[in-house]
Amino acid sequence: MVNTVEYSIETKGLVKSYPQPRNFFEFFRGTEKKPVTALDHVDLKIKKGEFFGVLGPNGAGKTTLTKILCTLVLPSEGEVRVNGYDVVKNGGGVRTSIGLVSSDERSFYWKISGRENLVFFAVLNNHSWSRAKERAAEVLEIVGLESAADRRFETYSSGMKQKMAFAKGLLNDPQTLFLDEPTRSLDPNAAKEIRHFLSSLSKQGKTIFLTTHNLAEAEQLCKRVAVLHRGRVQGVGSKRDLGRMLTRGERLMLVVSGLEKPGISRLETLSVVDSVGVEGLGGGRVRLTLELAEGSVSTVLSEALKLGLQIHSTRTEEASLEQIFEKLTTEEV
Amino acid sequence: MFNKIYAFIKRDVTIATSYKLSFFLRFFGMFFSILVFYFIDKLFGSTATPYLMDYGGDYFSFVLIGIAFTSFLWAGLKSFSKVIRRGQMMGTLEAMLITPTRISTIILFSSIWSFIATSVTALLYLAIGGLFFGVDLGSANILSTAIVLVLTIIAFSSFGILSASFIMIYKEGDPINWLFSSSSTLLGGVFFPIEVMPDWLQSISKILPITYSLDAMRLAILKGYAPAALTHDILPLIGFSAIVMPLAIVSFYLAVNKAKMNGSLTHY
Ligand SMILES: Nc1ncnc2c1ncn2[C@@H]1O[C@H](COP(=O)(O)OP(=O)(O)O)[C@@H](O)[C@H]1O
Ligand SMILES: [Mg+2]
Repeated sequence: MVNTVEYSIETKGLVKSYPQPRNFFEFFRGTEKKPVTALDHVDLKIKKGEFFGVLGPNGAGKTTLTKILCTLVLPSEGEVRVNGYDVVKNGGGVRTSIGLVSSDERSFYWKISGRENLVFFAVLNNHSWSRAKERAAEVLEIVGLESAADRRFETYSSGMKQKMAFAKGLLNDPQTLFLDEPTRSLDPNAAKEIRHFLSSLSKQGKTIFLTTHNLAEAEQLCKRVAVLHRGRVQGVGSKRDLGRMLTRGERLMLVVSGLEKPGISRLETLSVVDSVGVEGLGGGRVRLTLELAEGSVSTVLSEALKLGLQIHSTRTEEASLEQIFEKLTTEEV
Repeated sequence: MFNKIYAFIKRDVTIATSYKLSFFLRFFGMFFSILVFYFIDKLFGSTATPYLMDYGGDYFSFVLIGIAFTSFLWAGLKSFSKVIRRGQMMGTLEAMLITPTRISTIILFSSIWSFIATSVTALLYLAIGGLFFGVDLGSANILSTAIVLVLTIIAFSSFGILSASFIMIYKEGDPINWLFSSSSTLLGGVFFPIEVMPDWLQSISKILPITYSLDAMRLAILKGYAPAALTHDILPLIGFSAIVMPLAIVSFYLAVNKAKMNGSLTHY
């Protein structure tokens, strides 16, 4: 079955809303709290063997999406298939075919060695005891931690812990590997090593699903990227499309006079205008910074003239990827 | 499956032996609590004898078995919720749930070690009593003891799994455990035979499985009763398990589902 499916990951209309926990008093007063929508109609199709990235700021819903795909959280609505198995109806099937590497170093037993941890989790992955020992040795070799394997887990550096997490994700030789911000909290060198593993894994034909808030990482590693923001997929495409997904166009800077409040609202309601920044310059002059859809500068200018504004200067620029993504990431949810 | 049982036990033994001191402390704790009851027996033993004729009349033997086997009550009640609570706090529960091994297997096998440790403790209690304090264990009926032990573990575990379901969702303050543990030590006949209590308290004792477990255990070990002679205890124990176990399993699955719904498998 696994070999006949075209898509490793398929979501259709995936919605996840978390009920807000109510405290004791709210419970007895019957206070209703609005649920948090973590994912809002996410549609993704990820082909077998693809290196796919999900790029988004904190709170975008990356972890929620990863956990749903790994059957640790149930979706509220929609259809989700991983390696051909339905995550709700056949979670067991999903789990035989996936591995998960999270940035959470708590997922090990700290009082026993790295190797003992790996052997234990290998047995849970349905390996026999002797095969589990072999497999643990194999994955230790892959991540290059043989020499430290017999020390207690608590003695490892965070880079080593993350490599161990990586080794654990590979125990069942998964068809699809999930990584939830694997390089978070790593120094640049350790992060580089992890990225190096990832590229080599991808060459073996595994599907890799990686989430990150790091634009450079997504650009460097992933063949295709989805940009996730506030639970919505803003766009999916190749590296080259990323620019287009992150921005809808250009930035127009105007210095004008004769601007009144209604004028600003009027500009904001134009469909081609994303946002309007206003800065008073004194003497009745105002600097407007408008984020626009591509090729709509003339529309905005003619609207400004219609409003009776006096235009002193204009300047347009194309925002760089970093700028735009930074804007996205600093806009905390 | 045996691979998994072995893996779980090995994990737990390795973790347990990494805390060496607690082993010794536990042993000394046992020894002292035995001493306390030894002296109480010296002081009041003869007064208690008339109440204890059914069990051979010796208070010290009576209470030794009470203490030794109450530990199974604790193990059954607490080990499942402990496994979940720890797993949630450490993040290891999620790490296990990402594997194809079913959650029921994980919880069950994770508790094996605590039952082994409890059995060793119970045996130690009996051994100390037999070797140093002259308790006569020679007439014990091993088969009866084993049957009662297994039934006891199953009955207590069903309450334990029920309590684990509460822990899964509410994290703290599960009512099952509280109600059950506080009433059982008082009313279950651990330190004194229930016949010394007023009738209305005795009738509460009759709805606690520990009452039947301890009665059967004492009769099996001290008087050597065969299984057939213990049906008045064995049947209620089977009854408890038959009612509570299915309820516990259903509520456990509902709890897991709920935790997966509100994403709280690793929250703490
Ligand atoms: N278990 C939960 N209960 C309630 N809300 C949650 C839970 N997990 C995540 N959320 C909320 O869902 C949103 C997405 O979170 P998350 O998936 O962790 O995003 P990311 O991994 O991209 O930072 C956030 O608003 C977060 O507060
Ligand atoms: Mg996250």
